[in-house]
Amino acid sequence: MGMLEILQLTLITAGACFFVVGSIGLLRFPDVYTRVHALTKADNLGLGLIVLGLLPGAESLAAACKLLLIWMLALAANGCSGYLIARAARKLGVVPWSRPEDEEENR
Amino acid sequence: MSTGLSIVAFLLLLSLGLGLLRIWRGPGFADRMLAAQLLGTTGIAILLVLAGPLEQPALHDVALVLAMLALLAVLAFVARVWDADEVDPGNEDGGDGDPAAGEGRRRRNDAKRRRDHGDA
Amino acid sequence: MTTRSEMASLDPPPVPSFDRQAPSRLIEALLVRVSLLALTWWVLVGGTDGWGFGCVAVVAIAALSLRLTPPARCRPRLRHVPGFLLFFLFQSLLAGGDVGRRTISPRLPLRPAILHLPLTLPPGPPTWLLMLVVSLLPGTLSTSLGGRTLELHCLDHGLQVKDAVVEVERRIARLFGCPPAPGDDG
Repeated sequence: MGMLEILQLTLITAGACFFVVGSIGLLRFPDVYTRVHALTKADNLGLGLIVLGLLPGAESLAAACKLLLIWMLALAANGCSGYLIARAARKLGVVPWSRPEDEEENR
Repeated sequence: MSTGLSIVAFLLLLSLGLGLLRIWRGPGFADRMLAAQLLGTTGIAILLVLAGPLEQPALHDVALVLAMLALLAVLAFVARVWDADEVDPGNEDGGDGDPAAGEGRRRRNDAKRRRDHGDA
Repeated sequence: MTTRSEMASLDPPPVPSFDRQAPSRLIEALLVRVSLLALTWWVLVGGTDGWGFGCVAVVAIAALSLRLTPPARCRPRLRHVPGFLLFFLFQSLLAGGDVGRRTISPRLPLRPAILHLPLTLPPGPPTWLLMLVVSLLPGTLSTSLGGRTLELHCLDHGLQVKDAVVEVERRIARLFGCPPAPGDDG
């Protein structure tokens, strides 16, 4: 196992860890808005790291570009759906959670 | 490398299972809808990771399609929310002239009018 | 001239503006779009096959896109794309790290708040890009757009959210080649 493979596996494992962190955030965070934060950001970074780790193993330049294209598409889809879910929650009247001492800023 | 990737895929599956607990608990529509996002991104990651060990480059194309479908699922959900008649439009915004809210209200009213018309 | 192209940056673009554009700008836009689409085709097909279909599809889609979205005054400038991309990648790295830290920390350091920020970017694609990028920035999430006010949810109101958003606005304005001009948008 060469240096490159070790680096690749490290990147990919780090990416998977970010996915786990995103799921933990989804469970631990107190309301839908904060959960969107956790899921969107952690998963995007996780997928980015996994794609970066897989890039050297791609069999051709086109295949490498396809990996990047998938990441960019997932990035855009994630950003859009995070915004749409947050907007729908506002629409449904879900009140954002806030710490008791910040209560007056809560709407 | 191959074994490592399989372990990573298992880790991703674990994270997906963890996230599914949130769907079980809810409590809101929007919380559960996050699952579509989770399934989308984690599914893409699992497919990309497994494409190497399984020697199936076509899985990359499946991942590409999944990325688009995940967005469609959320769009369908949002369209449903916007047509939900029984929900009071969140007026606590306070922003004067929010066109999005205005549009939602208008569409709701349109739907109501259509329904009343049908009843009459 | 200026008012018409400003109109074109709003949606939906009036179809007649298609043949009233300056020819040089149309040709430039056509070349850029054909190259991008050809690149996409090459990536999707993964090699040299199928260029017969590819050429037809690329030209047809480019013509359609020119008809539906004629080149606006504010459009992404190629020479600013790499810089913006680097900025974005670095920020998403920070965002993932930030949210990861908050998740793992036993005290769960969250102080969420809803903010309203006035926008200076022109409506249309620049604003859409801003909302997308803001959602992937550390600790911020666009929740709705009312007129020219962006409503944000932030994870920690102690963060310098406003400065960060203004910085993104400045970068998007440079990317699109339109100065952030507050006031009416025609």
